[in-house]
Amino acid sequence: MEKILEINNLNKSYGNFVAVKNMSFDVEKGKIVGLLGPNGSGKTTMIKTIMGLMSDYTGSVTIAGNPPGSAANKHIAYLPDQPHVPRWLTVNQAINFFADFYEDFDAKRAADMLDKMRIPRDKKLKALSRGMQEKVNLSMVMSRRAKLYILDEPIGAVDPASREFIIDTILKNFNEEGSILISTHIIADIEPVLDRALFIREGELILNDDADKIREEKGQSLDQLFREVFKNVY
Amino acid sequence: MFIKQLKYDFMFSAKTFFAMFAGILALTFFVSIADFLPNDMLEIMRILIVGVGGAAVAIASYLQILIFYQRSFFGPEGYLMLTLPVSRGKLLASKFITTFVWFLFMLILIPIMVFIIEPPTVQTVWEVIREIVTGQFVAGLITNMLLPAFVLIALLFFTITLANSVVFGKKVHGVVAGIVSAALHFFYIFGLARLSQRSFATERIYGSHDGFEWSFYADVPLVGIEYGRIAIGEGIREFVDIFSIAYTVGVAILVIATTMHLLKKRIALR
Repeated sequence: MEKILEINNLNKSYGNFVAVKNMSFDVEKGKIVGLLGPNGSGKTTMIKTIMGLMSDYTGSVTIAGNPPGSAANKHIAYLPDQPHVPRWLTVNQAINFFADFYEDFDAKRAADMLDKMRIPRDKKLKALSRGMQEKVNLSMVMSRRAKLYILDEPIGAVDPASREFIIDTILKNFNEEGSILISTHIIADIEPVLDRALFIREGELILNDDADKIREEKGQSLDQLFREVFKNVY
Repeated sequence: MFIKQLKYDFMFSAKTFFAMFAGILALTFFVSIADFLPNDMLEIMRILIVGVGGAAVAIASYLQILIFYQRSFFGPEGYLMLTLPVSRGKLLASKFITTFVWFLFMLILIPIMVFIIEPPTVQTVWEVIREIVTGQFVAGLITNMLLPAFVLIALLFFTITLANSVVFGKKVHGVVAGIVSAALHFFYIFGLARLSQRSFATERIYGSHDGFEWSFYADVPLVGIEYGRIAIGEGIREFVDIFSIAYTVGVAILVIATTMHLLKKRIALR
């Protein structure tokens, strides 16, 4: 099957601290892959390396045949773990911004999504609440017909009702021919949608397998397995 | 894409710069018509507004550029800007162009302020235009202001990029970036000062030509000036001027190339 993301022997350190150790995995086309690990396990570092926001690493990263950079960025819809759309833009200007830079961006879909969420489109993002800003960020990303969606902790800092809403928004709007790499430490909500699970501990990949296969072999849910594997981390 | 990037960079910075420039021009206009104030107070206010106000706008502009660059690339917005399908070279070029345009606006601002306070006569305006078109004003402006300004902007961008980079496996501390930047600023300005000293010494020995006529220092004897000596002086001055331009351009290329390398290969967005 076609691989949209390939990572081979990725190592990334901050001085003497090794954040990512010999990480190797693929994301196949059309699959939803969960990057699961506790806080500080290296998930965000790895995602930033894929996005070209962290340099100075060893190993190889390939996205749709391109190394991290502007050519690869065309194919990736990235939602970081903090609001990233410029807060001085109005919501309508943010839609225009994404339409200007991304050919696969569906402005009408974005506008409809925001109207359904009752977000005023004439207001600047800095005038909106934090929750609304996050919804705007999510809508911009999910309105793209990207080959790869990379979502870094999209449900990490929200209440359970909002988590359900966010997951629902993701599943209803993503390009079904594309793939999703979603990082989280809250497994229960995301588990039902995962095709593949990657467990990361202290920068190392300790499990990489099909989600159904893991559940069958271990006789427990991914959430239960996660709690068991990482119980001594906290 | 590049034009679109320029559009958003101008959109982000326009409000603050226009507000600053409009504010200082409004103050200048007020002072120019405030004949109800006592003369000596008016004179002091005019000097303060043009001199201190102009300097304040320059410093505020410098800080605004610093904030603009830092926020765009290394604040939360950097997660979007640096992951756009636009090369880092074009992102950097867009910041340069935007900053340079605001610098040009600032350059025009001060003579406008002076003209508001002391409206020129038609004769003065004509002489200024003549000087700009036929004299060495444009050449002097480019070599003495615009090119050095370009280098100083490049050094500012380099400093901020360095402070957000990883070098030899370690994140560069802001203080270290500041020290490196200060050293580069000193190196560049010292070099320019030495070249200016050489140019000045040449003028003292051989005289100078402003595009209309020769002039000589009072202590240089006119008796015995030969065409050969004038030609030597002209030659040395041309060489120093060209070397000065080459020096500035060389420093600019080095600084920009290093900034590009850091942006492409060494950044660490936290």
